Amino acid sequence: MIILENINKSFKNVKVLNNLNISFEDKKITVVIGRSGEGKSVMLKHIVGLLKPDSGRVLFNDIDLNSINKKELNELRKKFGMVFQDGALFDSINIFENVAFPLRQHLKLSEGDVVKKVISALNDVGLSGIESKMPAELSGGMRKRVAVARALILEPETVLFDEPTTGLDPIMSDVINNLIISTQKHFKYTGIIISHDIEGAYKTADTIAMLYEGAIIEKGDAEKFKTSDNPVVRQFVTGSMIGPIVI
Amino acid sequence: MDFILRYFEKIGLFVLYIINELGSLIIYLWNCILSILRYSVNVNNLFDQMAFIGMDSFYIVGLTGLFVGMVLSLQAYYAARIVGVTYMIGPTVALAMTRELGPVLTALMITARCGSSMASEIGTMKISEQVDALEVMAVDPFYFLSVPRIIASMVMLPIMSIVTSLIGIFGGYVVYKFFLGLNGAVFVDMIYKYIKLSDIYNGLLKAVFFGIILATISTFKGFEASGGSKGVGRVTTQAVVLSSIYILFADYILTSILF
Amino acid sequence: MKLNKETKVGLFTVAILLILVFFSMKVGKINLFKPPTYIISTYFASANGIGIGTNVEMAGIKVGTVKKIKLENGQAHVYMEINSKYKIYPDYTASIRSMSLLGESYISITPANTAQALSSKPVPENEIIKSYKSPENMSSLILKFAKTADNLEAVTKSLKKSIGTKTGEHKIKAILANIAELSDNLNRLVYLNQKNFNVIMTNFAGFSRNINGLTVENDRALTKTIHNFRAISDNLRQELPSITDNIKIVSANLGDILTKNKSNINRSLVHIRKDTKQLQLSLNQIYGISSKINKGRGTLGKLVNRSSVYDNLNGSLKGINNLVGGFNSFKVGMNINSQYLDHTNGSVTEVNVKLQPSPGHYYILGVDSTPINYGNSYGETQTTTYTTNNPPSGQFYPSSVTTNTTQYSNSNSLKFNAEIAKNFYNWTFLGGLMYSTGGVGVNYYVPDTNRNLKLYARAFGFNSNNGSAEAYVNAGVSYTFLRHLFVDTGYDDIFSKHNNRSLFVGGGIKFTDKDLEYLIAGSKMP
Repeated sequence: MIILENINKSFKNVKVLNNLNISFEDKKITVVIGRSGEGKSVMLKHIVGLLKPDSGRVLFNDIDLNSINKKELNELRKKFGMVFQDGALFDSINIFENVAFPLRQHLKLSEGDVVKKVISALNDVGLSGIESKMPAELSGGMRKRVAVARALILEPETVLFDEPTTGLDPIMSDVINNLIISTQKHFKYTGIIISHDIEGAYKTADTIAMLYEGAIIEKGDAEKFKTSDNPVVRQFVTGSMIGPIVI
Repeated sequence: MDFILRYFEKIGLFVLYIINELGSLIIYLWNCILSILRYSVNVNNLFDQMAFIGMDSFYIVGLTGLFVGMVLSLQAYYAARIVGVTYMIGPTVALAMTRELGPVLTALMITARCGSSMASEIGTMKISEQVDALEVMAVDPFYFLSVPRIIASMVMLPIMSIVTSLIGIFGGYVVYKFFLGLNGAVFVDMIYKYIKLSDIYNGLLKAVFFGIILATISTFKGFEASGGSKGVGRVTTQAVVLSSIYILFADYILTSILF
Repeated sequence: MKLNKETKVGLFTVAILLILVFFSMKVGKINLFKPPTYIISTYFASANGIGIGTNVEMAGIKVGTVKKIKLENGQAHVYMEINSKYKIYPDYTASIRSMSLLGESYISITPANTAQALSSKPVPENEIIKSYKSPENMSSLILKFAKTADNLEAVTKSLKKSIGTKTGEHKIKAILANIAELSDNLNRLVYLNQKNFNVIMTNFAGFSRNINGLTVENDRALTKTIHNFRAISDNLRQELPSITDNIKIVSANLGDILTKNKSNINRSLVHIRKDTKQLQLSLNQIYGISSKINKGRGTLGKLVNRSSVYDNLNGSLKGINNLVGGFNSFKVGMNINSQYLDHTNGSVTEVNVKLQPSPGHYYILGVDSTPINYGNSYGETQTTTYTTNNPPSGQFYPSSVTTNTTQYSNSNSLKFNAEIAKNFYNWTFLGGLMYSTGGVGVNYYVPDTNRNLKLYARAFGFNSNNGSAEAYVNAGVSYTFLRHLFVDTGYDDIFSKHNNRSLFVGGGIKFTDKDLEYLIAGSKMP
């Protein structure tokens, strides 16, 4: 269970997170939606301790991330996987080494085991025969899938997705969404997705939350969002220009 | 009134910026040392960087040394000829190379070649979230990126400094013997006569410090990158400029302490 | 063979470190395979300039180093570590020597006698060998030089004192008068010994007779003059041995005259002697030093006798010379000449000193004795008495005449030259004080004659004290032969309003500093 309590965060006098409260249920997929620049990525970075809140607490299984030291934090991070917006693959090493990277850093496996694991992880995301390619040689969708494979290779308890479908064509978006659903079923991880793709959210989410002006204004299942009374939620869901959201 | 005060404000901001920068740098270096204690050293990356700073820089460093040595010999000749002490050209070249030019030129050339590369590499990783990815994968960026570079630089700089000095002295010898047509044996004999062990080792000690300075600043600047490719370019420039300034500054300080 | 990067880094690092170790050992004089050595020692009065690690050399080859230096009874006890390859024999001596004036010292071990050395056994470990008396160090040598220079300065000071004052001036005048008298006597002597004199003098006489006739036919005479010049120089060349014989006779005669006029000359020369005595003293001192040097005594002597050191020294001195700035191009010349003025029967005699700091320009300082009014100027009047059997036909300047049948007197005045001259290719332009008046001049050296044939013109007498602004112009041609002798002829006061135009003819002798060097040092003639 991950709980964010009264999180406030400002960058150079601009308040990004304003008393944010949210909890993520174990082994469920939660999609946090919101407009670009509403602080979704900032929230995500708070969850893995890449950013520290100005005030408030981040609790991971009742452990406060701010109260532990760096070494303990790194131990904790081994239970996380994260898929960055552009994949964040290491562009100086090939796909195989990218996926094998967490294995090599944290587990002392024989080279044969590493190869076996990497090949199966890439197969899981529907890729094969690209192990020796460099990240720059792949398309955006492939890179994202490699990133998913890398995030899942240590079989983490929690996987965070930073805008997994952004910048992809609808078909590839669907592929990624299906990949998330299938891998979640397979690995039973807690999924946290931030996205502005409402259709994808309906499809993948067990719970949807909406972040607006640094706080959660609505949280519930897909049905609740489809029938929400909140004018902000309505405007976002329908994708209309007219409404209370200041453009 | 405001008009005048604004200038003082600017000066104040500048001073604060410098202090802040220096403070961050020291904290950064401290973090690197902590990282060594915590995770030891990434040997794989260390060797990569040693190869990069060492052998791969051989030609540029060697060429620099060669030409500087040749020029030194030639210039020393013009001065020495006046008072008829051309036999002192050898020691002049050797002392200048081992004590001063070897370490400093090596450091500056390595800064230009490797420091810039470090800053831009880490800067690119930073803006494309690769550094974040590292952290999320529970890999300390200091351990993975900074420490290997700093240690490699610290170890290889004296080595490359030896290369520079040696090739420089050789260049001086070539000019002395073949271009100026003087007795080469005198050149060599006088070097052995006038150069002391401390000259060599203090020069190498300088090189160690220069290595630490250039790698620390370059990697630190890389981590400061933000705002896309332009940001990477900016920090790369800063890295090279700052490293060079700090190296020359440290050179003065070290010279006044060591010699 | 493909090396992985770890191996490459390792190989590279180890290779460079090995090089470092190698050079460290060479520089630090650390020797793993140290050759066997033994220790000998010696005493020096002063270990000035040597220290631990100073080289010990024998015949210029390094045989060891200084191990330690101790002070014992006010003497420096120097221990030397000698390579066992080299044997030191008991009669060998050690001395401290210097590589160059500015360089460092080393210890030199010299065998006393080779044959003796072979017959005796080498010295064992810890033996004390003899040491040469520590040679004078540089500073004491310099001190001596300074002393010499002081002496010289004192001499010049006293010279200056005796010359610079009014009485000194008078003395000089007296000296000059004496010299003039001397030359008169010489004249007479020449006349008396005319038969003994060689063809050149006959030629001279004939030449002057020709000049007498030249008042009528100037042009023809000029050509004749030039012919005569040729004849003179040819004759001179042929008759040089006989000339020298004659000169010997002349000087013998001169000796006679000198004894006769001793009282006259003595009085004026006594002052000079006093001054030169001091000069001689310092010269003696210099001679003493140089003879010591020649014998190889003293540091300098040792330096001179070692060619490598000598080369070093030469290099240094050359450098110093260049630094100081062209002192070696400074030249001094001197000429004495006399011209006979045909129209007035007067004569002009000059003594000029030429100071040439660079090839491009020079200065002339000189004294002239000229007929009064020469160059539109009045000088100090001075009476010179000529003794001759053949008095000149017309006396142009009758002031202060004392005549008898064989003597006539002429009034000459003393004037001064101070000129600056600048060379342009074959031309030299002069300006300054000529015959105590403002003047300018030009010389033209005829090309391909090695500057021996010179055409010249002078204009002087500007702002002279008789108020006339008219210039006094003369022009002539001069020919130098046998390097030191020259003759000249020309026309004097060309634009004269008082019908003073006159042909002149003369000659003289000139020296350069090289000749003086020759006279003093007796070195090879340049």
